[in-house]
Amino acid sequence: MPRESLFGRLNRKVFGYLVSRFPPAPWSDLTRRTVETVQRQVPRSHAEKYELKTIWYWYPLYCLGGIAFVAFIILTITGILLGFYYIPDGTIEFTRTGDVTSAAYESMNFIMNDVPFGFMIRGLHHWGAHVMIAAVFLHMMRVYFTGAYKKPRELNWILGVILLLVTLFFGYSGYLLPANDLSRGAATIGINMAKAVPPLWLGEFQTLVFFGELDPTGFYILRMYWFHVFILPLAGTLLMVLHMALVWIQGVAEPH
Amino acid sequence: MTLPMQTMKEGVYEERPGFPTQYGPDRTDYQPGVPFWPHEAYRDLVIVFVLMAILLFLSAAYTPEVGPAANPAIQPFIVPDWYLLFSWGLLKLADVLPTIVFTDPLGNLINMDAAFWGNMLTFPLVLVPLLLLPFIDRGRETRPAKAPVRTAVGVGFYLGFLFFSSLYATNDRILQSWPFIADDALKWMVIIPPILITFATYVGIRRLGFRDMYWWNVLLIGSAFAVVLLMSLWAFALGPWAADGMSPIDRLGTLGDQNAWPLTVFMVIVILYSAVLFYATAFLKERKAKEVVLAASVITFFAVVIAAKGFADWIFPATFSALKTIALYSNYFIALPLFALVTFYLGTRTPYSTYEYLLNECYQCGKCHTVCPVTKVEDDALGGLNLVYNTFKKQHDGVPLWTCLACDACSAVCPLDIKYSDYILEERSKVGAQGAAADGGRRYGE
Amino acid sequence: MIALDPEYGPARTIPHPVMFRVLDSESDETTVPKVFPVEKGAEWAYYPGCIDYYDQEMQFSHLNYGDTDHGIIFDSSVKLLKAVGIEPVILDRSFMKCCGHDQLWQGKLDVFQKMRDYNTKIIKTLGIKNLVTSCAEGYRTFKLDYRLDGVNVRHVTQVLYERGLRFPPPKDGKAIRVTYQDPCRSCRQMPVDPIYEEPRELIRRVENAELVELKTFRADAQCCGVAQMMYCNDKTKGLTASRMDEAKELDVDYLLTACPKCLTHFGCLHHENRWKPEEERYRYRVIDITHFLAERLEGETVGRAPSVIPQAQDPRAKGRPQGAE
Repeated sequence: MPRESLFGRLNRKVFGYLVSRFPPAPWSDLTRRTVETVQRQVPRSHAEKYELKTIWYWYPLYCLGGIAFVAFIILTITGILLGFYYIPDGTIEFTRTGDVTSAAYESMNFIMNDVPFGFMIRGLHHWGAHVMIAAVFLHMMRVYFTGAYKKPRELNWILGVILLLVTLFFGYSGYLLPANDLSRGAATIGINMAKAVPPLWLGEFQTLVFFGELDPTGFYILRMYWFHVFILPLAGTLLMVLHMALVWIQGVAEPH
Repeated sequence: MTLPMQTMKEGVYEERPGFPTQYGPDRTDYQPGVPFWPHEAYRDLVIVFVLMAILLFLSAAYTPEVGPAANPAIQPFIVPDWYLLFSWGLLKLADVLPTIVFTDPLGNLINMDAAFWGNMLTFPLVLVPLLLLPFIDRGRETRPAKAPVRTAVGVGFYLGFLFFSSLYATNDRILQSWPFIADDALKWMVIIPPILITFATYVGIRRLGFRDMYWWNVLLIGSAFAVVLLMSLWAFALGPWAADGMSPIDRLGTLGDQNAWPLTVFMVIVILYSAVLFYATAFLKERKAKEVVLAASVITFFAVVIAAKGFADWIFPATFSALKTIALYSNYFIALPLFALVTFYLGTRTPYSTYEYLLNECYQCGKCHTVCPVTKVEDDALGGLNLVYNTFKKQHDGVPLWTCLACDACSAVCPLDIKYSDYILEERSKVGAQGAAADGGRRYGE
Repeated sequence: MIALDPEYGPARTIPHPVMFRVLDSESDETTVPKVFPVEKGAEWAYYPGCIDYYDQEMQFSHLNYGDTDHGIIFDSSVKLLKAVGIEPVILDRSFMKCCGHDQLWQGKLDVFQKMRDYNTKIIKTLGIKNLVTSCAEGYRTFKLDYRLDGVNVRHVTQVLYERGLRFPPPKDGKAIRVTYQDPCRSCRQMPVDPIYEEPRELIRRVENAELVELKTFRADAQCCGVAQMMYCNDKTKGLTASRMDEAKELDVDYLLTACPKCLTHFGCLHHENRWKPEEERYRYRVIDITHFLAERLEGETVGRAPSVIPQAQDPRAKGRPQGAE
């Protein structure tokens, strides 16, 4: 009778330690049931079900929602990595040579030049953002044209439009953060548009909520940073999970 | 099918074929799904890896630069990222809307200026209809080719309106590079081409289901021609002329003037082109009309190019002023004939009636199989000559095709109104089929 | 040697090859005659179709002795139209061709197109406003597959119904049970103007006729199994037989059809049935509805087509019950 391997004994010991403290019976059953459900749940596609010999050329478009989600994961990971180095302070400062700069701008330069592969991480984040927004928009177009927003999927569509707004706001708040020319110009436009909602007190209130100030001096960066790294990810993740759960429950609208 | 594949399929699909073989409430052959691991996981991983590869390539080859720091002293010439261009363009466009200032009952000052209108155009006009879409469109039809209004409005809105308003956002760069284009022309481009794109798409998609779009085409292209004529008269006699400020009536008197020649030539070309389009649509037979229209389009294109080049070499500023005027009304002169051409071509296409497209609507309820008289008398190894399903799976070995009585009992009960006899008619008339099954085999042309 | 396209599998031989070769070969003659034996500008025209060919085919074929009378449809239709005050121009086979329905459904599109162009030219030249057919397949073909703009295509039952054909009281008061087979082509397959009610209404106007419905009727009516003469074997005959069994169960006196194809095949099977034992015999007559209505018009029986079989061998002459007439 062969002796149990070292790995086997170790495994037993560790598992035994845990099992005696956290009774596994309900948990393992739950896991088993979840695994079984997941393993069996992915429905066959139309082509698989009917063993169709024709590949419809619009089938790949059904990946777009998934692509948006994968891009979001990539953005989250690269965002966390960028967040280690980024400083959300936009107050105007001056370099030793007299050039205009800010802490945010300097941290961006640091990421691009001094962090190992920082430019790659930032590049991934930048392009990932464009890919995600493009995927979200194309996904919306696909859902629109194939009429997949009709009963019973109306709520899912509304969730999707809200997610579109969240994504656009993500992108907007994102490119306000590097404190460069583009960010300042965009902030100016944004502040002006937010202020333009009548009556005056409402416009100003709105501007203060989103930008933290009524003129683009630099405080907007901190506000936008908070939206970008906490509020939007929290809301976005919850809504995305809900959106995908609805698709899981209701099924994908069959592409015909 | 090789053995391992067969085994895998059996293991995965539990030896059940893709289509149901039992009907009615006592069915037991429900289809299991595909396992998440490893099948679905592998499929998803492929997508993830491809996406990562693309992103890594882009990051390495086109690394985004940070650019100059934000400087409160300088007003930068910035363009927002592409996805917000539409809002920027609409904001710029909002200049044309009037500014209304009044005080509301609560004593607040309501200032509806350009920025306000820009907000209105972006949010309520673009985003609110999107939210309300499922409640506006309550039809059942999902396939885009069978829902022409939805598809046309979608193409016009998404591709037309959003694209052209994004284009307008970059108007300063456009005007820098091509100074003969008037800013007003670009403004009109946000309105006119989307409407035309919508019409062209509508006609093109409707044509898929209906053969007779003749009168639609005549109407559309006829009105296009009428508008082109009217705009020519306007441009010549009434409309604003180029920057030289000469009154239009005086300009009429100087038609022999060198400066008026380019404009006249271009206008005449466009009017002639629209006239040819209208004549072809209204009076010629389909094939002849397509040839004539194609020839006219090619000739017009080269004529315009040669005229522009010729005049530019010969009379530079006059050409620019002519092109500017044309560009101002380009939505009518150029866009209309162009869209008339596109609509004409789309509107005269043969309807899309391949059987797979039509039969693909089938959701396998089995009613046709129940009523088909042939299935009652014919038998085969699978326990019933499954006419419709065999056809649907494109596995008709000829037997269903020629055994069908074309009595349309199936079409009569089909909840989706799929006309199976139309498919039979089409398939039987194909050349290969004729040779194989007609008596003695009459081939086409023999 | 014709190479069989592997995708299309075993071929089926179309029966009645002689008839079809004759009809198909006609399509090669594409010159429209300059002089027509009928007047131009007539409002009403009647197109009988290929019914005389069926008579010839049945009479000379080895399948039966041709006692199904198709030509009577022509006589009856004209008689009925005259009774409602229409003098139709007869578009018979001397200058018109076969309407091309069978060729179209058999896949011979080129033959069909030649026939269609020829017939359309004639109809247009004659300036006909209303084209009446007694054949359901002709009705569908002229209405849907030909593009006859400005010509109103009607079935003879529709015309009779619209014109208010009425019948005199029958000479003998015997009640008869009648059932009616809805043709696939003019009922279910017609997206516009299907003919469900007109024949039924006309039958109801005959006082002593009681209309009973077969097991499936109107849009659910089972096809008679003809399949545009695509093939003829025990399977299709099984369909025809099952339909005739339904009529037998209802114990009817007449099985009426509105399509010569149905008539042909019911008649063929009726003839075969004559050699069956007593309990399986079909005791009813199978005739076209125009024939039936014409009979009722004067209360008289319209004359039958002469049989080709010598009297001595004619099973009818031996005093057996009437078969198809």
